[in-house]
Amino acid sequence: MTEESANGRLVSRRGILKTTGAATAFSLAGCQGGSAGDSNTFTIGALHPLSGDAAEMGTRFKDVVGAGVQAVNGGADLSPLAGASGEGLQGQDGATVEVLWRDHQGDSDVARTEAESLVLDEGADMLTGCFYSGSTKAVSQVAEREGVPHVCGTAIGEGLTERGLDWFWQVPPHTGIKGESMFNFASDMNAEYDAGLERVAIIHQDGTFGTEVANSMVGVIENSDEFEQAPDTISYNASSVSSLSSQIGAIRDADADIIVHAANVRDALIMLEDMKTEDYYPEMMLTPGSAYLDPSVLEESVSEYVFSGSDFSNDMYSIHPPMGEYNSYAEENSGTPFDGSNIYAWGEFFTAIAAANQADSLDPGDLQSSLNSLSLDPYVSGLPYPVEFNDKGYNTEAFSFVVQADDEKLETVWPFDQAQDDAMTYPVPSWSDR
Amino acid sequence: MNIPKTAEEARNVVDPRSIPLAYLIPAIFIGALALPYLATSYFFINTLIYVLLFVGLGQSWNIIGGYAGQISLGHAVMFATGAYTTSILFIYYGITPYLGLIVAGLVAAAVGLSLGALTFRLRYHYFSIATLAATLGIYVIFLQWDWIGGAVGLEYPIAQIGDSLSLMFDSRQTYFYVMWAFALGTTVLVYRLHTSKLGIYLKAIDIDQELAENAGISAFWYKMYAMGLSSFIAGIGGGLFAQYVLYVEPRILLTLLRNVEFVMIPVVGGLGTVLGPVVGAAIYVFTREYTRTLLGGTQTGLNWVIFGTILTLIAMYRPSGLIRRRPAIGDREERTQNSTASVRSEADDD
Amino acid sequence: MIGLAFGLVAAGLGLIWGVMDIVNFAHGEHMLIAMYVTLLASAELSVSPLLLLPVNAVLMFVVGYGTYVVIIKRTMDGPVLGQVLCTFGLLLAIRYGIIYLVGPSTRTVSNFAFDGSTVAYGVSVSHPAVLTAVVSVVTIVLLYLLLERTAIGKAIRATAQDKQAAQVLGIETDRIYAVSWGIGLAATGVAGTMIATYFPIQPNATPGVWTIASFAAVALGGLGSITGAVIGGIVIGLVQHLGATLIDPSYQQLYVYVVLIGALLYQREGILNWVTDR
Repeated sequence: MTEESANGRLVSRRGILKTTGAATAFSLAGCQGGSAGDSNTFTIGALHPLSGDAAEMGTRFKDVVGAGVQAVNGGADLSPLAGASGEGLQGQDGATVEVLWRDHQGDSDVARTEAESLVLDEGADMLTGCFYSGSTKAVSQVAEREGVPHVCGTAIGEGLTERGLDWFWQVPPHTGIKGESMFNFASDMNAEYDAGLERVAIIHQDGTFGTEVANSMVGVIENSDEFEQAPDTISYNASSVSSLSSQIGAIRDADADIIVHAANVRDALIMLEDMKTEDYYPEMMLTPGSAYLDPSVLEESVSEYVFSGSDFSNDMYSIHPPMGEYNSYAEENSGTPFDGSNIYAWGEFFTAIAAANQADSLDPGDLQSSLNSLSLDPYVSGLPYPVEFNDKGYNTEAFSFVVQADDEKLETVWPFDQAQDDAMTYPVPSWSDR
Repeated sequence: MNIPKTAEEARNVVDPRSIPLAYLIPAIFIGALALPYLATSYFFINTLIYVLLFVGLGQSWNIIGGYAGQISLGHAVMFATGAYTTSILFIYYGITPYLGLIVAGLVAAAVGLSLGALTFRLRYHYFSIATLAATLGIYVIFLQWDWIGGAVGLEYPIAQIGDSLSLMFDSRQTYFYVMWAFALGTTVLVYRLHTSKLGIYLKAIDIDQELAENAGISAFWYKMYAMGLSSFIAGIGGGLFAQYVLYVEPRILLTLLRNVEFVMIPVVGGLGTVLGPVVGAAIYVFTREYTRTLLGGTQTGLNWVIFGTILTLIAMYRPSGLIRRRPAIGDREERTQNSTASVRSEADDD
Repeated sequence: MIGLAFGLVAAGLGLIWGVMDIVNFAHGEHMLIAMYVTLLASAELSVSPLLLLPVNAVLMFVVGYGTYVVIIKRTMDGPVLGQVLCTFGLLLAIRYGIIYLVGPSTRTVSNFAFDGSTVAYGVSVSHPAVLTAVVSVVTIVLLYLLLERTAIGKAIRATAQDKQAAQVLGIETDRIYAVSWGIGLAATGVAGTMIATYFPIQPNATPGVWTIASFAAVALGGLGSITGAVIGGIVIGLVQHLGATLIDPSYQQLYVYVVLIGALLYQREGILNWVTDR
């Protein structure tokens, strides 16, 4: 029944009742009995972008980690991989591992909500994630407030460990380190091949990722005598850009030797296509990875010969055989092989596993101590480098190498002694020669 | 239909069959106080907190969109301004948010007024497009603006949670009460507006701007007044949001979605009514949070599909929202006819 | 050159806007439908986008007509708010529907017969872009002819000018509205098909660009005028390019927004008169 007051305002009693009823129903639905708190389950709350711009990456993370969970719980023999030598976590009486996935949609606010829900409602023992710096910060704040470890293997922002948090650890090399690797490579190219690389154009998408990377790159260049920026850093709005030809024009006019491009998949493709249209290619296209390592970009022929700082290459298995085994396992069990992005998720998961396995118990305090004193050899964490955190929580042993895209594959080209013969193509052929 | 000529008349023209708002509002709000005790999960309380915040935000939009009829698609700008002002004052200068919130409201009001000054000459969807363009443009600017953190945003120092003047609390319940106060305050404000002279004038402008102007009501200044009020509230809401989430970045403050939320809540609940935003906020936030948790991760994007469909359906069948009010004379059919004639025909329908 | 594509899309929007005073906020998303048909057809079935031009045109016509009949019509009698919200709801539903069904990844059309570029007179030109421009021009001309020369076209213009008079003349305004939607979206579909050949398409990013650009173009060029919309489109394309080149590439999109607001404001006299005349 609806009521009507003479100047036109209707207040429906039924409407009010409906709302109250719905609210009550929802509140009861909100009863979630968390399965963690069971002493024999190790619960990880994983927060990643499963919808939105980075959804494909998030989904591949999930696939690969799913395989990881199976490896641990099912006791696949993948030594020296942490936790994969017997059913469950051997260091915790065979505790089962479960991973609760939450989609933060790239929104830090959602990330915070979901993180709190994971910890307070679901009783997660540890949090992992989150790919985006913003979400990572929000989640690590939650971790710090609630006293739960947050192991981050998928976000590479430089300042993340500078915030003085006690419950946050970062596994992969941050953008500063990556930048150094990239420019050490360029420097070696100058020394070894007389490449004459000097002027660097930095162009980035104006989101958190792009801005952070750009800031790191600028920092590296400023500290270097060999390189200088030309022109000034260019940024653009990734969501709304439709063409980068004006920006390319500016770069061309400044006579840059190297282009550093921090991008999402769509704008990476736009950049490459526009460069082709303009028939322009610098001496070297050197990227911090991310989009340029993504299969959607690699499958386009315009992406060939691009150099990237990366923790992954398709030929790394010859130098790091255990990674090859892990890759086969992951692919068999989830249908998704390793790639430039999901390898981080794999490492993130196994670092968490290693820490849990070695801890005195699954209590937060013990997990924290375990992480602080962690010292893993390469491959134990699922990554080709060791894991050992400094007192700020940063993994000082992490490094990047440089790869080049060739025929949809990434080949290691630097350090030179880790590269296969003939892996590198330099100078890069011009558009008409391809 | 008799348009009451004084505030007195407006208050007296109440159908005895309806539940007077004066009773309903306290009933709902006092009842809501019990909710934290019913909460069985953190998630539920968090959702409630958002509901209350959005009630406030919805009321903010309601003033300009529901009463004055100006469909602003750019309220996120004032929201973001409030959030940034509060956080910058606190993080950079250590000024307590209790003060910061007020400053935030004022700054947001200033922004809103400037926006209004610029765009109020436009009407109907032209106004909407302009506000939309403004918010997208400002999004781009904020992303580039290093002082406010640019794309990376600003983080609150969580070490200071619980400090007496920091407006950051450990306990969710305290946040609940803060938001509750915000929701109550704004609802009472709208209630007063509803029955006040200002409210009547705004409605008149909504119904037929020319007629109102001819009757001596300066549309521009009243719209500005409404905008100022609305922006002030949005700014405070933004500040409260920042104090709860403890992190500000353009991405969570200025997207298309935030703008849509401002609009959707009063619309779904009932445009131009006092309790509309309350209902709308409850429905929207609950649906959003629970569909995301239940569906998210597996069914990418499905929750937005549902929203979009709901929005379209509401627009099709009940454009004024669930709590209905009489269709305004601003409707399409009437607009093409002589406005006096339509007033007469409306009166005949009584 | 991209301006012409903007022009075409804007023309589609302008038609709907001019005839029935409805701003289709979901314009970009409708275009997305055509784009995705193109993408999927060329990827899975290896159908050339050129073949899809007529297919998409017809498809989008049906979609437009259908959208009007099923959805928009009901909002016509209600407040303007209803229309705004309606198209907004469509924006969300279509965009995320596509994401749900097909995934959020960026896609391109590969192996387009006309891939590649040439350098002419010192300016490099990409083939698909030229082709798009050609198709756009052809379509625009067709649209123009349709409106000026055919009976339906005249009916549409009559309805746009004065709905009541048109009704008196026996024109079924309702059907005209539906047809306008159909044609408007068909134009957009054609544009979308061609654009998909050389732009990577991403469901979150792509629609926004085109919707705003077409709004700006129509606002600039004047409502209800095809030529106006086209000119507006070209101007917008130029603004984007010049703004980025001359001022600061980082603010590229901002220029379009500024132009849009400016155009709306400057036009206000025209808008108000036009609204009250109706």
